[in-house]
Amino acid sequence: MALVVVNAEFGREIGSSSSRRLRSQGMVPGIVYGTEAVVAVSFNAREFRNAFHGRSAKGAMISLKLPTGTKLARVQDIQRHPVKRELAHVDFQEIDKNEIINATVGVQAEDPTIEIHHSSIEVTGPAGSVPGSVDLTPDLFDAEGHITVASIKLPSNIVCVLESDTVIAVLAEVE
Amino acid sequence: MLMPRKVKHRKQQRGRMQGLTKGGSDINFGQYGIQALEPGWISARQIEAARIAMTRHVRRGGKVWIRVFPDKPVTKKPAETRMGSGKGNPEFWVAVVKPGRIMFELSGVSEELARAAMERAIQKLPIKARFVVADSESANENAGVGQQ
Repeated sequence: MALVVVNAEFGREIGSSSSRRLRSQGMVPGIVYGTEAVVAVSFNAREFRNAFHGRSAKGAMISLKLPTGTKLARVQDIQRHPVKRELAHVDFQEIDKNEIINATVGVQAEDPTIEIHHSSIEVTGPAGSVPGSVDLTPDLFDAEGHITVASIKLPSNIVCVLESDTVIAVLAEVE
Repeated sequence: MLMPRKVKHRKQQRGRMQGLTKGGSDINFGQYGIQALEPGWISARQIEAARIAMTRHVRRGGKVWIRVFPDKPVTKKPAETRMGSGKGNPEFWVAVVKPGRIMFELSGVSEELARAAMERAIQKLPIKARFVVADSESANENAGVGQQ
């Protein structure tokens, strides 16, 4: 899956009132930390929302486009308005492509017969190989009507932290 | 019914319910939740009624989490009593809920069944609330899904 590109800008003012003004202009304050110095950034809320439409952005790998160059980063944390659920602040962790990381990967299924029990799984492996999400399909069901960790398809260098017999999804009951 | 086992003070002042919830606005345990949209006091009886409505509709399977606890005593003076002579007696317990708070969570059932069960539970509560799904916040943000 192609990496989501997020265009960000430097030089935002720090503080609650300036962040509030930024949000009212359709921008979201954020922070980038990791290998280099900590940088305060801002980016367009609509662009970010559309890039992750219908799926969780938390834990996702992105390509962060800054005026100085592009960085590989991971969405470490997202703060939202408690009721409106609008983005309030996003933490980006800059990472090296070959660095071994622990990441949370979202599980999704389009088929209505698949009832997901684990909406995300913990995986470990090189940052560049961590998938954006895991798609479940009906052909993964075993004889008992379960999709377990062992049956899901992950890149060869990515390992799921959960035990192999953990049930991720079941066949939904049709009334 | 839920109530504290032991309290330091038997009677409390009523307090104010301004603003939004400070925490507890994310689904942390299950897949589906009931989120408060208004501030209010939720009594222990109402929490229990909502829980029963939800579990009876789900019938089997599913796990329910109650994310609010009624730790505030509410006092009442007896009927036809003259004013004065001190504060009334503690009558029941309430949980103070502010907008955004996830009050119940549910997992292990289909979204359709969870939605139906939680809509029934919402009917037992004295405030406006909505059904929310974990990890679909961006979708909710775009479409305003689940507004009651």
